[in-house]
Amino acid sequence: MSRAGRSLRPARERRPVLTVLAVAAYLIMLGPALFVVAVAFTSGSTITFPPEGFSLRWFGAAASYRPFLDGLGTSALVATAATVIALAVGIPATLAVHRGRLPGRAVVQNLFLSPIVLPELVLGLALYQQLMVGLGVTASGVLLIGHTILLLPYAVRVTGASLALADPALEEAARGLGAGPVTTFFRVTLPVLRPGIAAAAVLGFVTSFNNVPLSLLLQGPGTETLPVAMLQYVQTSYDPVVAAVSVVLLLAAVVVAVVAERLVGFNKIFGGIGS
Amino acid sequence: MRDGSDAVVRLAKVSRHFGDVAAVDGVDLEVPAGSLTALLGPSGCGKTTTLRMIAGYEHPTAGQIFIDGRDATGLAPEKRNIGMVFQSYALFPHLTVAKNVGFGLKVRGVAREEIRRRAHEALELVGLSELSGRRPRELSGGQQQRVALARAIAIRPSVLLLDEPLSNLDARLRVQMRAELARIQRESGITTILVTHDQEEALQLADQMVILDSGRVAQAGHPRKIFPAPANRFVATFLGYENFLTLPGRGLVTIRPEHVAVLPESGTAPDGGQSRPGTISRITYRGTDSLVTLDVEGDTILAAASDPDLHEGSRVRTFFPDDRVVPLAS
Ligand SMILES: Nc1ncnc2c1ncn2[C@@H]1O[C@H](COP(=O)(O)OP(=O)(O)OP(=O)(O)O)[C@@H](O)[C@H]1O
Ligand SMILES: [Mg+2]
Repeated sequence: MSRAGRSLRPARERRPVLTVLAVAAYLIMLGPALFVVAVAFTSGSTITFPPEGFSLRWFGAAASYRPFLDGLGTSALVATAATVIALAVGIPATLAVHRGRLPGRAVVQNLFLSPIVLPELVLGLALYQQLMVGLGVTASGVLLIGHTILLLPYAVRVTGASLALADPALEEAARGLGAGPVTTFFRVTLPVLRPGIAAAAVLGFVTSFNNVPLSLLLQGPGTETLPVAMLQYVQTSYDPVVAAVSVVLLLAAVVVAVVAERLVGFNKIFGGIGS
Repeated sequence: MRDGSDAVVRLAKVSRHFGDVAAVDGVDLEVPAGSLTALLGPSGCGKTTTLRMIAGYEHPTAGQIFIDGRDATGLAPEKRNIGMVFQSYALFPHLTVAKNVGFGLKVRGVAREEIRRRAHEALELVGLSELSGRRPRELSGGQQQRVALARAIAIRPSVLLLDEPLSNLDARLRVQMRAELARIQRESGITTILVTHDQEEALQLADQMVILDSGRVAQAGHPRKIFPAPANRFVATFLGYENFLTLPGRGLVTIRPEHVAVLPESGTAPDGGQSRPGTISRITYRGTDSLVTLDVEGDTILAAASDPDLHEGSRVRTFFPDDRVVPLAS
């Protein structure tokens, strides 16, 4: 009897093994981040754990270090611009692939998704060769183009996922009610896709902001992104300034996540990505 | 260009081929003003495709479609003034009920006050005026359907198109909505085309029944004309005539199970029909009566009977009344 009843136990019953595993997983994921956070508030001058005392001096140091400030500006600018351009190109492409009677739509779809499988170093090198050396495009221009290409698959996939979930009859219904194709797009298609577009924007921005390989390859004077600046700093000095910057970035990521959750909801953002 | 008939919708030799598949194949159809026409037939017979061509979502590969007497064959959907209710309802998830219903009027540039009044009127007709502030996801399936109906009616369409409007509802709600649909259609007087594969629904609602078979019209007419006199075996089968047999002097005929009488083997044969001896091979209890399967001289015959004295294996006499036997074109 007790054996047969086991599978019927309530879901809330304690499961010690599972709990231990879950806690361990969180520790492994968050441990390094917590370590960095602790180090950032040290009053000592080296990265040691446990930190010596408490101070905000490394945040001050980070805020007055020019390459970080410039890098932050560049990163924010590139991430914003690349996200906007990738969406502006990616959304119409998604619509064409999903709703249009495009000949060879599979080819178009694969073309837009290909950067995801292409190693970023290869992409960066190709852009460097062809655009910067070959055509003389400026460093910032190439950086922007590179990041846009990097984000296109996200724009196409994430908006595509929410488009695939949307009922195609919605647009037909709008047409039948008297709305032309343009009105239908702005009054129905776009609003229905809004959560998907917001998700693609958040994902795109974060991806661009955190990118290292492409930014590193395409860097030029005045176009170092924040991660590149941090990398270069770490190569020469080993003090808690980088930890302080990391904490700021971590905080920013949390803020973005909370705002995104408030705006559209996480399950909406990440629910459709797999499909 | 007017076509000279007073039908609201007229299809002239309309075909739609998808590659090798003839989804609709030379359909002629006239839908009189104010009538309710039911398109019915088994799955894949071309009902939805026909409806979508009338709405303008699909274009005929041959033939012409006239709406309000004008050639609408190549016209975009937004130029046709048609109210369509989709099987999935297709309510706009980002708009309230009232905004959904007002959508067609808004894109037509109707003044805001007028939109509100007419949206309210349409919602009142379907009995949902108190829910106008809700979002579609906050409604039950039946309510969503009523909103879809109100949205289609609000634009005062030339014709209302309904694609299996009741198929997503549970059995009880379906019967309720069927009556509701009949009332709304009668009160609004809107010319309506209803797609269904439920013959009961068509019989109950339609002024005109059009039965499709593989993209062609198998038979069309008033239910009271078609039901007692199916033109061929396909229509008969579809309408629930289970028995097909050859009777002396009448050729190939069909008869409904409830019209076949099962009588004792001995005794005199009644007048006004033909008798044949048979053996009961199976009895399936159905509540109000039983479905009796008989072997009648090699033909398998189904009869509805409520006589408790019938048993499997009994020898009986089957009786086919002349006025219930329907001759079929072979
Ligand atoms: N877009 C399409 N491409 C190819 N074939 C199609 C298309 N639409 C419909 N068909 C085919 O045309 C035929 C008729 O389809 P239709 O949807 O009109 O049937 P239906 O009578 O509405 O069936 P159901 O009762 O299942 O809804 C089917 O064989 C279907 O496979
Ligand atoms: Mg259908």
